[in-house]
This record gives sequence, C-alpha cells and structure tokens, in this order.
Amino acid sequence: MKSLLILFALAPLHAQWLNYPTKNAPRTKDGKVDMSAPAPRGKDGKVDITGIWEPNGLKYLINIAADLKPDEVPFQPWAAAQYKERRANNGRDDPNNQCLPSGVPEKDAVTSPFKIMQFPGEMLILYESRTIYRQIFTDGRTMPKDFKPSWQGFSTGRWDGDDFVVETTGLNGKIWMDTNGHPLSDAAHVTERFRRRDYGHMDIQITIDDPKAYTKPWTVTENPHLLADTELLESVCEENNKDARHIVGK
Amino acid sequence: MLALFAAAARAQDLSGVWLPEARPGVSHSNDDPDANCTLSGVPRIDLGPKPFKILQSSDEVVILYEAFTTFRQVFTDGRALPRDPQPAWMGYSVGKWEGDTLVVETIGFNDITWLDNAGTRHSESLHVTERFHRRDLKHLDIQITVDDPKALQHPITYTEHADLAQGTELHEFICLEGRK
Repeated sequence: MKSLLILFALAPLHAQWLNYPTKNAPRTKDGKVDMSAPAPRGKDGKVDITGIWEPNGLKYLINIAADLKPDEVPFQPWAAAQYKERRANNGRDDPNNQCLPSGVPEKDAVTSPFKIMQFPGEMLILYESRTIYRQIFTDGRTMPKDFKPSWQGFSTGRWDGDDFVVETTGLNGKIWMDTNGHPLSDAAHVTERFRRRDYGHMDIQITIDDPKAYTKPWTVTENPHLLADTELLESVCEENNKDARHIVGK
Repeated sequence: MLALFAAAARAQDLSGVWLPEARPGVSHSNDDPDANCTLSGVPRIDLGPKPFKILQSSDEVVILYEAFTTFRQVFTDGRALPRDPQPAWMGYSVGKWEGDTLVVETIGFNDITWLDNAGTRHSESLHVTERFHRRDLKHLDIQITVDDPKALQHPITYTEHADLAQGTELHEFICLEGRK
C-alpha cells in the first residue's frame, strides 16, 4: 500500500507564491484565516465555491467507501471479483502507477490541492496533481454526440439551492475510484454535490449510479478544506516516475 | 482610482478556443523531451498544433491547452514574479495590460524543454515575454521574445498567429495514451 501512495505524495516544487494573501479572506484578530466564518456569496447570491481546496488526508483516496460497511457497496458479482483481485494484487494495475490520470470521482480525493474557478459558462477545476484541468459547463450545453469517452468525462453543473451539482457521464470505463480499486464502468453517471459549509470547509456528496458495476446507486461524502494564502504548484508525474517498477503485486 | 478603472476597461477579451496556425517542422526526434510526456514549456507550447483556450477573470488569465490537458495560470493581480523560483516545466507567469495587449512575463524554467520543434536549447535563465493581442474577432497574435543571456547571443523575437475555433471545445488528450 505504501508504494501506491507515493505517487500522490510526490514532493512538488517549493511554493513560489506561498504566503501570498488570499483576497477578501475573513481573518481572526491574530491575522489567521477564519475557517469557520460564513461561506462567501457572489453577486448573484449563490454560494461562492471558488478557492484552493485540499482533501483531508488519504482516507477516501485509499477507499472511497471508507465510511460504509463492506456489505454496503452494492457490487455486481464481476465488480466484486475485480475489486477482490485488485486488493489481492496490492493495486499493481492502478492506472495512476503509470501516470495515467485520476478519473472522476477519484480526483476529489487525491491528496493534493485543487483550485475551483468560476467563469461565464463554466466552472473550472485546476489540479496540482498532474497539472491537469477539468471543465464543468454551466451554459446549458449537452454532451456532443461524438464525445470520446475519457478519464474526466463530460461534466455539466447547475445550482440547486446552495449546492453546486455536477453531473458527469462519458467516462472511459478504465477508472479506479480509489487505490483499493473500486471499479467504475463506462455506463457510470456520477453526481457530485459541492456544498461549502462555511468559509473553510466543503462537503462533496458523491453518488455513483453505475448499473453495470453496481446493483443500485450509492452515495459517499468527502470533506476537503480550504487552503488560503497559497497557490498551486507544478507536479509532472512523468518527470520521475519510479513507482511502477516497484509495484509487483502477487 | 479613475486611472485604474480606465486601465481595467481597456483589458481586451481574449477568451475563446484558439487554433495555432499550422507550421512545418514537427519533431520526431528521440531526444525530444516531449517524447517523455513531460510538459512542452513556454514558448514551445504556443506553437501548437493542438488548440488552446483562454479564460479570463479580473485577477488572472488561465490558458488551457488541449496538449497534455495542462494549463498555465497568468496572474494579473499585480503580484511580482517569484524571486529565485524552483525550476518548472512551464515556469511562473504574471501579466499586465498595455493598452489592449496582454503582456505575459515568464521565468523559472528548467533547462530540459526545447524552445521550438527544431530542438533549440535554453538555460534556467530563460525569460519569455509573450504579447497577446486580439487583432480582430477571429485572429490572435502572440509576439514572443525569448531572452536567455546564457544560451542565446541576443534576444529573439517572432510572432505566432492563432485563429478562433468557434463552436468547438478542447478534448481530453492524455499524452501517454496518444503515443501508443
């Protein structure tokens, strides 16, 4: 397991814009960011989810279903067998070991910062891990007919009260949802509800609707925190990937 | 304050999907660092041939590249370039508006990337200036100046052109899969 997680713990470059103050961050008297201040709102009255966020530890990266009992994951038989085999093999075949991307929804749990930005017509997420981006369209477009299935799929977003709800399809069927190896098929429909509870805390409620791999939809909730006064760094997996040859499995 | 508003009002809208004009000389060399699926660096990534997309906020300009599904952040909030930065593939970029031209200064590169498809090398002292100017609705000019006193006898300046790719969107492109 240790070797698997090295990929996500690669020490990236030293922060170059560390301590660059986050604009408009609420501060306590000692100048620290007040993480429990109310969630900010934009001019449109919607909760502003922009900022740099980071998962709390490795828990959901190792096991997206960490908060569920083992029998609460409604595997189809083949998916249960595949999960068992992947665990027995110490995750040898995890695409991440080859520097392939983390797919949706594993990206929400990768323990490195990601930055949410809002633009007309889209929400953008920049990931420090792999220096990769994800576009979530909010302009009402639908998936193009010729869309080629991919690691990040095709995502659209809308507001439901204070939740920013992201629906993703068009995934490529190669995705491991965690390093344990929960599979996700190309029939998957993933819903992520981003809910900023207060200034410094977000819940991401993730619902997996994948009738090929699971007998019914199931839901987990992850809880990243805000990283203030900093900036993303560059992290290029291919630069120095020494993991793959050390991960031998059974 | 009035002057600030006036300056902000001049910022041009560069946003859109842009397709660099085709140019000869795509590298097939085994020595090409791009063959390792590491990032191409600046200014080589401006050469395409894959499209890029510009998104713009009041504090920064983000350039999304279809190549490598990677991005650059260009901070326009007035921050200075970092001092003694850790070398990076894509460097560190800040931008400011000069009239309706976005002037992007980038430093802090490693010395592995190539400046162009022909394999021109550079040192970690590389300083790239890109002047993004939207000539009209459908045309973007990027005047590039490459300065590197350790590797080049004098600065080199040239201009790249890109055309607006209306009605299209970037595709996910994973280098490791693309080279199979």
